[in-house]
Amino acid sequence: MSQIVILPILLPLVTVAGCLLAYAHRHWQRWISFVGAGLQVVAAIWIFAVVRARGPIDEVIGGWPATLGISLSIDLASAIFVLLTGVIGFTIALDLVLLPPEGRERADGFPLLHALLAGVNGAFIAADLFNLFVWFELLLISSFVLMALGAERPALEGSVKYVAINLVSSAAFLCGLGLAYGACGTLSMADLGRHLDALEATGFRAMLTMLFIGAFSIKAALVPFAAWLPASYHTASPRWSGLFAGLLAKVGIYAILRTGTLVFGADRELVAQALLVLGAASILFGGFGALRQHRLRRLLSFVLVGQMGVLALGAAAGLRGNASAFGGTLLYIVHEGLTMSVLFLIAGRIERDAGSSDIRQISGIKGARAWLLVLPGLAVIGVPPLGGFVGKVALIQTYGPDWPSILILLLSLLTLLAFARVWTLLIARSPASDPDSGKEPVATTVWATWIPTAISLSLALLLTSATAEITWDAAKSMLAVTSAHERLLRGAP
Amino acid sequence: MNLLLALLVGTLFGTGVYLMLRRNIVRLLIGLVLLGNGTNLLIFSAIGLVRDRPPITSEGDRLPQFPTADPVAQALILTAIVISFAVVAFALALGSRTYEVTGTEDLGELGSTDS
Repeated sequence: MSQIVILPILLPLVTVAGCLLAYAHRHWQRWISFVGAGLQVVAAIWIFAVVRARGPIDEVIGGWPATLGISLSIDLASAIFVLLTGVIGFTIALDLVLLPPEGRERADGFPLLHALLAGVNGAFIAADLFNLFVWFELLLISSFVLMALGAERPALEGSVKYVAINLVSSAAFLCGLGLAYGACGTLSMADLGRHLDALEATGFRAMLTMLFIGAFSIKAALVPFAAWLPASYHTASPRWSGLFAGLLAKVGIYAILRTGTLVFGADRELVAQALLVLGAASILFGGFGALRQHRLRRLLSFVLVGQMGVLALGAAAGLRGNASAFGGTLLYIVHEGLTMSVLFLIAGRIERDAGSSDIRQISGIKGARAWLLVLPGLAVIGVPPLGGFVGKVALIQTYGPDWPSILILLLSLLTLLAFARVWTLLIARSPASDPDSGKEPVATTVWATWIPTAISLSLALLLTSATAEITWDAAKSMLAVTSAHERLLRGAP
Repeated sequence: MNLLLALLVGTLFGTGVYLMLRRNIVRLLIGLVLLGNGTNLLIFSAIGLVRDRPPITSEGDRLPQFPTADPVAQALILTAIVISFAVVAFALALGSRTYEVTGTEDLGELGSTDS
């Protein structure tokens, strides 16, 4: 039964192979990719049901002893994120079926999408650090190519900046791996956590912790490492920027949460303090930055950086042992993944149809696209009873009347101002009276964007207090470090 | 030997970072290569250097009699080399395409999306 742990990685890779075999026939590629994404959702639901019922599943590939082999481990939090990846992957694959890429955007996106999903899933279920590094690299390289796909000038500009900064993050991660292996002789998360807890050179250990947290903070787009996100996410094609916004930065925050509990438990106070500073700076940078933007998706990128700041504040409270804050953070991550991917996809399509990304020039958005722009925006701001509210309430209750709560509320206000400006200019303003200006949206474009985003959005809207209990259980299982160590060191059953 | 390797790693990191901060895209790519190589050498030096001691034991021994070279770390370095090789290959293609499309190798001119 524990062999199902390989499914989140195996299914996307098999789909990559299928898409490559059908490379000359785009018609087949679309359906192979769609069926593969559908199977991934089914597998993710199955894994979630098994883990919810029976507890975490561990497997060491190849039958090696626990600390020597490649360990994969799915606990409730990992299962939730694998499900999130499945859903977002499914909506993008559906979007690829409904609106096939044409012209310069060739058919290469299909195998790359599933390679990225394989990397993301692998990162969520890895239980040793080098395996985590390999999955990070897989998802990174796939995202490099997807960002530059089509080879248009804006995409290439964003891609160069994205590549350079993320490669620095990989180099930092690898340095940390080398130093950790040299000091402790192991890279399995549980074993390394045990060794680091017993390490006497506390200065070295603190430096090692900060090296890893720094590398993950670059991936999670926390200020001062956040400049790459507003520089690159809005330059990619709409559906790829939707995919990135939903998944990539979340992997960074997940890595901070997972290693902060399992590996760097001895330094968790230091990590929490660092995350408080990074989170506060990200909130201010993202919130105030969003007010200044006049490009639609670049504005959304700044909002995303602000949300990552909230997640960092939540992670800080969670790493200090507060299970409800941890659960609220996990809920908020899932909610952010779904809503931001919807927003970026819709915003990208609006920009494409209007022929301009400048919100001062787009007007007359109405109907389904207007709703798809307003509802996720309200969810991101944190209007009750949508999921963003539940997550923020958990964090504000944890911090009480202290400055982190004020910053979280300030971000909601700034996001509201930014979105109000967008909605006023795009929806409330009637189009220019000149009949030749602006393009009429093609009917199929509108219809095709409606369904995948509606799926994501309705799931995001359903994330109310009922599902908060699941994330609370997931948080408690992530915080139970000693039993997790014992379980992982025991190896496969 | 350790000191020499440490100095080498430091030089590679320093040169790599210096080149990555240049305006020219080709210098950026060379800097990435040097940074990757410096990281791989760091892993190599962090595990402890032994000379002429492959991890081979005599028949019947469960463990090697003396400290040997660590094969796991060498496997880590090999993986890292392969990954950085693939990344550099893509980065070169990206740089070449950027030059073709934008007509410039000056990174300062790649700012049309930054406002």
